[in-house]
Amino acid sequence: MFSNLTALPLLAGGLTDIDLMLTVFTLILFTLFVIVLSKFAWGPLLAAIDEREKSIREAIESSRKQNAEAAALLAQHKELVREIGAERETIIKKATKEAEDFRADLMAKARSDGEDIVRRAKEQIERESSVALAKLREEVADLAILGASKIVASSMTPEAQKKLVSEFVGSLPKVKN
Amino acid sequence: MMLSALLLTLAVAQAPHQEPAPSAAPPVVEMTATPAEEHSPAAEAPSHAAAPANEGHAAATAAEGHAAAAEGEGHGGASAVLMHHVTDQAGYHPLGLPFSVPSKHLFFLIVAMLLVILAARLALSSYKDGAPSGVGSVVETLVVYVRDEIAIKNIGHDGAKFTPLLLSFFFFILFAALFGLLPFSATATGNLSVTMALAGISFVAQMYAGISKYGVVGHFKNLVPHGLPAPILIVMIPIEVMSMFTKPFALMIRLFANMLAGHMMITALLMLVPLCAAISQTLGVVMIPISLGMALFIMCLEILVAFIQAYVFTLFSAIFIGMYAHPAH
Repeated sequence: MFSNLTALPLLAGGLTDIDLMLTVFTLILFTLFVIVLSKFAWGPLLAAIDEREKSIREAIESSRKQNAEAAALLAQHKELVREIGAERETIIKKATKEAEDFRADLMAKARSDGEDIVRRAKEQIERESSVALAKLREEVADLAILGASKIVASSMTPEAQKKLVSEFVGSLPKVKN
Repeated sequence: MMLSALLLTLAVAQAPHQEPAPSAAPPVVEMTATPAEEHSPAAEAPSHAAAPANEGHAAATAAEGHAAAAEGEGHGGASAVLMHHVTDQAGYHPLGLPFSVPSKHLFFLIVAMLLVILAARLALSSYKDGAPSGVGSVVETLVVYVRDEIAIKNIGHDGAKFTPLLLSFFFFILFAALFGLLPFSATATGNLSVTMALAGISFVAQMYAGISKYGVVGHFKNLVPHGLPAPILIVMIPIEVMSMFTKPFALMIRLFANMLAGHMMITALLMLVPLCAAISQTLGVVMIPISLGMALFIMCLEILVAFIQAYVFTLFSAIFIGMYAHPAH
């Protein structure tokens, strides 16, 4: 059907001859070629490339995920450290305060105790001294009486006795009736 | 490059007219007179050129004069060599072996396919623990590029389904073009019959992309943007139907022309030596380094072109598949 093309002087010389047998052979061979290659070369080759690309993609994906996980973990740890620091701070503060309070309490108590002791001691001293004084007074009185009685006994004459009684009676208030 | 091609055509055209004596023709004719060595003018041409230049007209034997006569009128020897190099040959003896194959291009088509399969299998076997090495790394780079930058980018999420086909296009065109640069070989994709089949397969893939997604009716409805008024439809429907076929047609012509052009350029540049030698021996000798240098340059360019054409064919196939799979954009 293309034979008339060769009649053109420019295309002469058989360059543009169509050999339909060759065309048919090429069609059949190339179809077989494509089928064989698809099945035994391009198919497995593309599958291998896809497989590798998939594995690379997955590796990148998983490493990215792991990275994110590690970052999250790091943040978490930092937070934890910060929290622990804060906690330590509060514990120390609390402990200091408690110790302070305790010390103050203790001081107050010691002071009050001391004061108590001093007060009680004073009271006791006072009490003891008053008792001692009373006793002393009693003793002195007794001694005085004893001494007086001795003096009296040694110096009393019936006349003096009489005079004394009369003086005493004289000092008594006058009873009406 | 353009200049040298022009020079070649001028030389071919003028040589018989200026020097009608048969003794002037032999160095040129010798190229066509030895069929066993014609498969690679790239490798053989310089030695051919050197021989007549050194030995002079002593090489002009009676047998060659006879060949010149057999060549007939109108066809210059140089253009015959050129055509012989780039066109298909029935009953081709690969590498000069005693057996023949039905067609030169069919033979190198099969060789390229086997090479692709070999390279792909080698790549696959180089995988250890999911990572390739050696050939595998190279193949994988190209495979990943075709998958991501060509298939997925232009077809979208349906791209995975078409990736094996696009990879087959890419590697086949690349290997065919690169292998065709070797001496004694040919590029199967420099044959219009072969590129027609490839473009046909691309066309089938494009239609499949639309039909499998929207059904036969939906697919053909999608060819024209929705909601156009009837008068515009009268114009648009033929345009869109035509564009459906021009897409693979362009793929066919582009690949064919690019593969053909490089080989023609290399051959033509190497042919400069015998052509100039036919005019003057000194000119022929002077031409050897120039011709080889320019041919080498084109050869390097061809390596680049091999990659570009493999990429372009695959890319356009993917774009067209994407267009039918997502007609909205």
